[in-house]
Amino acid sequence: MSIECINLTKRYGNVLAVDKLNITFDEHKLSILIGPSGCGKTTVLTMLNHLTSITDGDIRYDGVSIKDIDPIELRRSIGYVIQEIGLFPHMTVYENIATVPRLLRWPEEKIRKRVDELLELVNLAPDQFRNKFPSEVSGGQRQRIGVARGLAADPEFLLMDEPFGAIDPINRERLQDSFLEIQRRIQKTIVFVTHDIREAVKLGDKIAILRQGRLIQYDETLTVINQPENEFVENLLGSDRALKGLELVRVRDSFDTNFFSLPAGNALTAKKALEQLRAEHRTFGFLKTQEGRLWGYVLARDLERADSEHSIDDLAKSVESILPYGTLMEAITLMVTTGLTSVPVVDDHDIMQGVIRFRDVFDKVAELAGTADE
Amino acid sequence: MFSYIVESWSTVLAQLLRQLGIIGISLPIAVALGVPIGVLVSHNRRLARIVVGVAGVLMTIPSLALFGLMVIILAPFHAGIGIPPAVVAIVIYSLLPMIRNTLVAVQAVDPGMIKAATGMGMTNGQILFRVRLPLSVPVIMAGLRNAAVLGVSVTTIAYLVGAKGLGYFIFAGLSRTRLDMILTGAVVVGILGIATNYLLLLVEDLITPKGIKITRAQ
Repeated sequence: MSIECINLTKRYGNVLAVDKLNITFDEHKLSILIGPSGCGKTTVLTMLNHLTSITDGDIRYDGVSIKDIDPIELRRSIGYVIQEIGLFPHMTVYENIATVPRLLRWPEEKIRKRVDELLELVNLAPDQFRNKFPSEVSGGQRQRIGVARGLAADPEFLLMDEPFGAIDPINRERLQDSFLEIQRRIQKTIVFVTHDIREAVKLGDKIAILRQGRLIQYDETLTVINQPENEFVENLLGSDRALKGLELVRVRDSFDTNFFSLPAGNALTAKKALEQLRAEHRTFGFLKTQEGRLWGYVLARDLERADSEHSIDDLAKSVESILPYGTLMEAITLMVTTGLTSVPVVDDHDIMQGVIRFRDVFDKVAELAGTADE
Repeated sequence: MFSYIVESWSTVLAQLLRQLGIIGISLPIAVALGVPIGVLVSHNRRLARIVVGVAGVLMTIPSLALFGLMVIILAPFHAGIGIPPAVVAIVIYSLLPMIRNTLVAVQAVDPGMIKAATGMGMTNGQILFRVRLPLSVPVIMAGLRNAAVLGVSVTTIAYLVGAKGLGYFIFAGLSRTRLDMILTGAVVVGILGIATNYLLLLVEDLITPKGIKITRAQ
């Protein structure tokens, strides 16, 4: 269920808005179209659902040319989400979401079930929101409703035109997080237009960078960050592109399973523990129970001050841990807030898997930035 | 004046009903003509300017002159006097407010919303009936109220071409120099105008989608 653009061209008079674009949007992936205004990203998107006519070239849905598909049928089979203004103010939330199913003449009973299902998917209580009007809910909620409406008829494809553009930054982050979670569950083939590079990096499986109607680069997000095609892409990514990359890299790819730990459960006295730490030239150590569960950490400084026969269990401090699928950005935030140069990595059952060190994160930054490591 | 009304209340009532009847025939015709024309010309900016211009010129014709013309034009159809010229005149005067308000309302619908509707696979007809028109109700109704109030006064003058109605009291009163008759006519016409406007406001409230009312209240 991929979408293939072949020599796709759009000309307005003498202006070439899209110039011989060849790109394939992969099945079940979220592909980003990004570029400065006037780069043709929205034109490409609207050609995909025939809102804009094609001057030359072709679009193929699973190999079927768009010219062989009735535009109305095509649009009903593709989800379309635009900025919040797209909701109908005279219709309730229910009626808004039911738009396409009604056009497809679904039985009302099926529509009712589907609307409730979708409201739950986008984290809105059906009983509370079903009968409200768009003007009675917040901007962020309107946007969730817009996403639900786009998904109403369970389309294979979803086109999104800056759907979170009109939302304030804090709510936008939240919407993006929950949208990522939704996509993880529904696995649609999504084409997403944005001008916000952070949004692109955060959401995109692949990123297509357009400039003046031409495709500059189309790669997996990490590849775009690691190997920008040219200066234009570098500038688009910004000087902090290495930091942006940290949002993408998961802890599981960078942590060390070989780690030093002290046993918890009254097994060690302060004196013994201190000896072990000194032998390893460490200023602190994590404590692990016999079952491998993370217990906390002790500072060498605290052990020195304590009664030498005291059990280290009582001297241990609790510590924040991170899951393997957390991002390096979260890891570095934890390091800064706890003041520790490494963070314990645990699985869902709190069993310690390893540690992630500041050094490892920094190596990744250097790798992303492409700077040489001395 | 009151003694006159008490004396001849059956005549007052009969002429009032007559007047209401003429307006009642005319307004649906005005809606049936004005709204579709407004929707049709909304697709073409130049055509819209021409049509609104013509409707505007028609509206400036003094009603007496219009009735004079009507008597001549409709005479071959044996409809030169009585109710037909009155109805035609009201319809002609209503065209401007109906067409103009429909045009403005339909064009004022957020383009983003139309884009969303098209993108979801609505046909042009579905967009018109499910999105554009429901959103246009308040403005179109304002045009209709405008037309109705105009209709009340035009019908009054239509007495001169034999349409009868409340104009009877004013014109018969003038020729007989009976102030009480003139006053009765004037007062009843005035009340009718206000009442018609109010009634249509109620209708507007009934048919305006709830979502729009909530949006406007904010």
